[in-house]
Amino acid sequence: MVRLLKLQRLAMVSTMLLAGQAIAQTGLDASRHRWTVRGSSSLISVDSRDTSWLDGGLSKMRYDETDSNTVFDRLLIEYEGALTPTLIAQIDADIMGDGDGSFDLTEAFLEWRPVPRSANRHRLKLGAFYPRASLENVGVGWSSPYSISWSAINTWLAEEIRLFGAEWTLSRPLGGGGSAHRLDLFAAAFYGNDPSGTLLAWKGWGLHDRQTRWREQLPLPSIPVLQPGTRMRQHQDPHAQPFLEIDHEPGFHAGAEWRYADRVSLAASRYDNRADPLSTADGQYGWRTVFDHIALRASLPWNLGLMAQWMRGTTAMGSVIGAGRRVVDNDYEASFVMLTRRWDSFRLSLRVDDFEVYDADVLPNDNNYENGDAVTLAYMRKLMGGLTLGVEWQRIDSMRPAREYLGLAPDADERQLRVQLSWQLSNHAD
Amino acid sequence: MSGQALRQISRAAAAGWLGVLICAAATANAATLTVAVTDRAGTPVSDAVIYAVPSHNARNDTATPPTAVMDQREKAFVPHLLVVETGTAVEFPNHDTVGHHVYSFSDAKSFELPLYSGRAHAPIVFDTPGVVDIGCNIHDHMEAHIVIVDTPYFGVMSGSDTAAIVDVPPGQYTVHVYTPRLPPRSQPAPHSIVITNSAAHIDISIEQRLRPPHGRTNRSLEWSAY
Repeated sequence: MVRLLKLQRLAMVSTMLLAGQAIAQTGLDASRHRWTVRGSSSLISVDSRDTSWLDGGLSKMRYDETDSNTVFDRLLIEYEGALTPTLIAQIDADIMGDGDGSFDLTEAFLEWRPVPRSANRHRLKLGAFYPRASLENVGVGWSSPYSISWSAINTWLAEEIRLFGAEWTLSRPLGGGGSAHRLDLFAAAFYGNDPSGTLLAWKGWGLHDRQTRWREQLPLPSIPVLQPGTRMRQHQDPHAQPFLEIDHEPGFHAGAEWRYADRVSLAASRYDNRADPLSTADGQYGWRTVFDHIALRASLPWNLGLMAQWMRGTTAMGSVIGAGRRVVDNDYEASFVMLTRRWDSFRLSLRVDDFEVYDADVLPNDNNYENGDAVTLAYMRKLMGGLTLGVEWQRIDSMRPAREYLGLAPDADERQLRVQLSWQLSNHAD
Repeated sequence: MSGQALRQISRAAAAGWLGVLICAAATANAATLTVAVTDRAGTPVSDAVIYAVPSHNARNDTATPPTAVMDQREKAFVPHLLVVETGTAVEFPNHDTVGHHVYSFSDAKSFELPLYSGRAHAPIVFDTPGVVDIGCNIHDHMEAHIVIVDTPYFGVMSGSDTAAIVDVPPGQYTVHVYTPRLPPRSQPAPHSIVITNSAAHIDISIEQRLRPPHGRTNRSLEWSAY
């Protein structure tokens, strides 16, 4: 942990120093240095027997019935600046109502964008960033213009996946000049992110809008294997810290995306944190987490947009104890399909999610099986003065036997109505 | 209606007639050439440049062509397709609050206008005929095309049914079409036409399959994420 925090702090401090130097040289020119402050609060009405996963429960949602009806979601500050004409820095820091009250970072990276000398376009990212996967989270500070709560897949990326390293992208048209086909190849190597999978195994999938920050500790549910005094607790703290480096081995994320004009795109990638499942450090295990991911976007008739993502993978820790599987060894799969349509001042989106965790190990009192689906209907409207209104209805049905450990029925039918007001202030018009 | 208003109207009418007479005199020895470029289905092709190259040496003036403008507004180049005569200087003003970094690696003109806003850079002179594809290094989705031609007689189909070239002197011409919706080597074959003093018109139908027009056909999806 000490080693990773040093790395993170070094990256953060050097990025800020470079940014500070560039600001001093060029002044606060809005065309080069762009600040965005965005605050969001929600009115919520939750119908669920579960306790929020942030309070040690197994709810799929961020808020539960014990939360106040009015919640402060997030205050984001984003800086995006050109340190030189081809070197761009981006820093996202936020405070959350359900965090520890401090500012912390969700992403911070430098991107080198050399001016192309041929049809090959190269980009190189350095720092801490999300893997190139989500189709939903294209807004400021990794927010989504489509809905308030994100799909199960992208919520998991927000909870447990972040790369601390470098990502190279090569983009070029396919078939020469005048072609509307384009191919992107991307490959990232990263440190950190060795405990990713801890939450997915013990807490399961979620659908919400909360991003884990760099140094954050997330509560694990009060299930039997995590009770004080168990063997698991010899090396596992009662919380997860998904971004730590445990075994000092790098992981990778690599893939390709094909795109035809603004009509259709198809991306496929593989993530492998290459963690040693026998390694432990700082109260966390290394979880070998591997997944394949596919993302499809398409423009449909009637100005409809279609988005779909699919993911399948494994996460495992500990030694091999039976049938070739490790102490905790889970397979998982999730997918969603979203239809969205934008009018001049508002947007409507409908998303259907499907998610599953298959518990492949033989560890007693640790049933991590889960199967569920969700429907999310969102209305997002831009108001005057930088205000955005979101209204979202969500129903999540899930079956998770581990709920019985907490005295609940395995089946849960959770519903939520959420009205969110966001206010954005920036030194630029777009 | 007041007497003053009536006087203004009659003065405006007189000025209008005078204008028509002057125009008629000026164009007595030239014609307007209109060209309609359509695809296989008969739909006008939104992005196409037409230019008429005289077979005789029609040009006797060597005046520098006026400066042209490739604007940047709302993270898009305006126009998407610009046609200029060889030797034209093109200005690249940025009217956005965000900076743009304009570049091209095309054979006809390779250049770079490092990250700027407003009118920070001097105009670029395009002195070689050909097509220059331009982009923004900050916003990868921004693209535009500048077509440089060896003739002052050109026009653009941009959202209209025809392109018009005015003040074409009589003579024989070869009419070319260029559209970025086809690969450079598959452009439509040129047409020959003799221009007299009356208006002339050519219909050009493109039989090849065109790539989709530039710009967002569906704004429900955010494409520029990467």
